[in-house]
Amino acid sequence: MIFALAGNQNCGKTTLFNQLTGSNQHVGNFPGVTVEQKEGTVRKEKDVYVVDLPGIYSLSPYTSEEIVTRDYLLSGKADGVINIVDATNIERNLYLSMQIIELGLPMVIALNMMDEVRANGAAIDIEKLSQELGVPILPISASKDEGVDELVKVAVETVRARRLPARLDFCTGAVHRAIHSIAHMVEDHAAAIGVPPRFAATKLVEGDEPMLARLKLSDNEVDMLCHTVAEMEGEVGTDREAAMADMRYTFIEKLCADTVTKQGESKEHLRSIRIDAVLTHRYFAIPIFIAIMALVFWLTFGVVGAFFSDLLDAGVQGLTALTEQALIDFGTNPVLRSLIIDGVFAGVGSVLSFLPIIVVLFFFLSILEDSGYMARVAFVMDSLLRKIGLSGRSFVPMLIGFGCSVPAIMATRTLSSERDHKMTILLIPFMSCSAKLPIYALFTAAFFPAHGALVMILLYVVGMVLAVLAGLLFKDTLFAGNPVPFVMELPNYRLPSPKSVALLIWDKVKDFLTRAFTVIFVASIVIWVLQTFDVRFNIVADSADSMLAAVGRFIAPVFAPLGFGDWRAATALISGFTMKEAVVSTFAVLVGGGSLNAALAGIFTPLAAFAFLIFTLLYTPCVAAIGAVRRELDSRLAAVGLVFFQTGVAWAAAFAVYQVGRLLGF
Amino acid sequence: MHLIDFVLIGLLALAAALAVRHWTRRRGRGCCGDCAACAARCAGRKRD
Repeated sequence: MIFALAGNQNCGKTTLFNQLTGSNQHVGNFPGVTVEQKEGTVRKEKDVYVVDLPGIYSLSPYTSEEIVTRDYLLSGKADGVINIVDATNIERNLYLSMQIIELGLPMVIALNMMDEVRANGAAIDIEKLSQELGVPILPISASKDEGVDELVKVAVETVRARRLPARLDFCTGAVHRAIHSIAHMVEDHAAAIGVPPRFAATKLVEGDEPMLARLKLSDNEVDMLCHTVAEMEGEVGTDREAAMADMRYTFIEKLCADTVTKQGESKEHLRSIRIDAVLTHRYFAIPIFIAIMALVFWLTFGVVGAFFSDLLDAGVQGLTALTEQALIDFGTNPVLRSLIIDGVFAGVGSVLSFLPIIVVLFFFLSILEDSGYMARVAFVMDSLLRKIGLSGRSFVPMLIGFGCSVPAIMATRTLSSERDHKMTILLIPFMSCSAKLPIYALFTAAFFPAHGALVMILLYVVGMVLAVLAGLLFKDTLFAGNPVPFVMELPNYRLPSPKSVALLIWDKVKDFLTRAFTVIFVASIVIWVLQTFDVRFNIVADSADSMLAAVGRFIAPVFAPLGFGDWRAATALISGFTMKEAVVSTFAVLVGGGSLNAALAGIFTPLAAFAFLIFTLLYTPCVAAIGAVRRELDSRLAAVGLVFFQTGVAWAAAFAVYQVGRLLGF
Repeated sequence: MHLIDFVLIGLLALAAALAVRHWTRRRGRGCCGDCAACAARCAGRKRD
C-alpha cells in the first residue's frame, strides 16, 4: 500500500514523513527532473509505504514541483493520499486540498500544528469540516508525534475500504455549469487517459495547456470548450483563472467561518507586524540591512573574531615551537623535520588560526537567519533583483553562497523558472564564500590592520556590484525574459534557538577542522615536496630553484600587470582551485618559517595586495562548486565556460584596480 | 635515518591516505564537505 504525502510548503510534510518512517527512508530524484523524491516504509506497518511529494500550492503545471506531484498522483502509483494541512494557515492550505479531492482518490487530511492552534486560543470543528469536505480529517502535531498513529490507522482503513471523497463538487452558479458541461464533454477522453473527468474539466476551465494536449480533443470539442469558458467569463465578469480561484476561496471562506474559531492574531504575529513596519520600510529597509551587516563584520573582523584568532594563532605558534624542539631532541632527520614543521604545521596551522573568525561570522549570520530577519531581506531585495532580471526568491541561494557555493547552487532547485535557475547559478560565484575568509583575514592583517572591517565590507560590496553588472548583461543577452512572480511566507520573528545556533556552530567547527586536517594537510605536503626538490629530486637550498618555482614562473607573467607577478602568488592561486583555504596554507609553506605577514610584505605592495584580494574574490570557484554547476546545468561546457568567465572577470577587475591605483599614486 | 623517522613517515603516509580516501568518497557525491551550509539550507524548511 502506497501513500502520497501532499501539501503546501512549510506545512510539516517532511516532519510527518520523518515521524512515519524514521530511518527507513530513501532519497532519490523524480525521473527526468532535479526534484527530490523521498520514500520510506511506515515504521509500525511493514507493507505501507509513503512517498513525500514536493510542497506545492496548487496542481497547476507552472513549476517542476507542481508537475511532478500532479503526474505522480495521476499515475495510479499511490493507493491513497495523505494531505497535510497547516491548521494555522488553514484557508491557504485548503485551496490545494480541494484540488486533490477532485482527483477522486482515497484520501485523508492530516490537520497539522494543532498544538499551535490551541496555544493561540483558536479552535476548529473538525467533525463539521470533515463533513463539508467529504474526507476524514485527523488532528495531529507532527513535531510532537501526536495523533500520527491514529492518522496511519484511519488512512490504511480508508484505502482498504476504498473510501473515496464523498463530495467532489464545491461550486455554484456559472462556474458550476461550465465545469459540469465540460466534464460531460470530455468524459470519454478523460477515461481513456485515466484522469477523473471532474478534475480534467476544472483544469480545462483554468486553461491548463498540458491537460488540453493530453485529452486530444477534436477541433469541434475545443471550440465548444472555448465557447463555454467565454460564456462563463462573461457571466462572472472576470477571467477563467480568477473565476476558478474565486469559486474555491468563496467556499473556503464560508467553510472556515463555520468551523474555525479564532482568538485573534497571536502575540508573536502582532509583534512581527510592528517590527516589519520598520525593517521592511520602503526607504529604510536596505540602509538598515547594510548597517546590520556592517555591524556584524565589525564585530567579526575588528573585535571578537580578531581577538580569538590572535589567541589561537599564538597557541599554534607555541605548539609548533614545542614540536620542533621535540623533533630536534629526538634526532629526527632534518628533511623530515622540515616537512613536518615547514610543511604540515605551517600549512595547517596557518588555516586553523582563522577558525574563530569563521565561527563568529556564522554565529551572527545564524542568529539573523533563525530570528526570521533573513526572510524579510529576501522580500526587500525582490524589487532590486527584478532590475537585474531575477526575483527575491533568488536571494536565498545567493545568501547561502556567502557560506558555500555548493549548497547555494543546489538551493537554486527551488526556483520555479528554468531561466531564473540558470542565471542564479551563474551569479552565485560572485558571492564571496566563507572559504575565502582566511585569505581576506591574512591580507587585511598584513596590509590593512587598521581598516580590516572596512576592507572586508568593500570586498563583499565589490562582489555584489559585479554580480549586478553581470546580471544586467545576462538579462539582455543569454537570459532575456521576465522573472516569475515572487510569493513568500514571512515567518513570525522569534528569539533564535540557542540549541540550533550551537548545533550550527558545532557543525561549522567540525567541517572546518575536517577540511584542515584532510585537504589542507595533503596540499601542504604536496606543496612542500614541490618547493623543496628540483626536477631531478635534489633538495634545493632556495625554493626559487624548485619544481614549484619552475611551474609558478611559467604562469606568473599573466599576473604581472595585476601587480603580483611573483611565482609564489601564482602558485598559491593555482592551489586555490582545489579549495580556497589552500591559498593561505600554500603561502605559509612557501615562505617557510618566520612571520607570514612579514614575508607577504616582501611579495606584495599594499596596492598589489588589494588587487590580489579582488582577484581571489572573483576568480574561478573551487572544483566542488564547478562540479555542482556541471550537475545542475547538465553541461560540461557551461561549467568550463564559468571558469573562464569568472577568471576573466577577476583578471580584468584586478587589472583595473592595480593600474588605476598606480595612476592615482597609491 | 633512525627508527623515529620511519615511524613519522609511516604516520604521515597513513594520515595522507586517510585524507585522500575521505575526500574521494565524499566528492563523488558532489559534497563540498561543508555540512553546516547544507544543514543551514534545510533549517529554513524545518517545518516542512
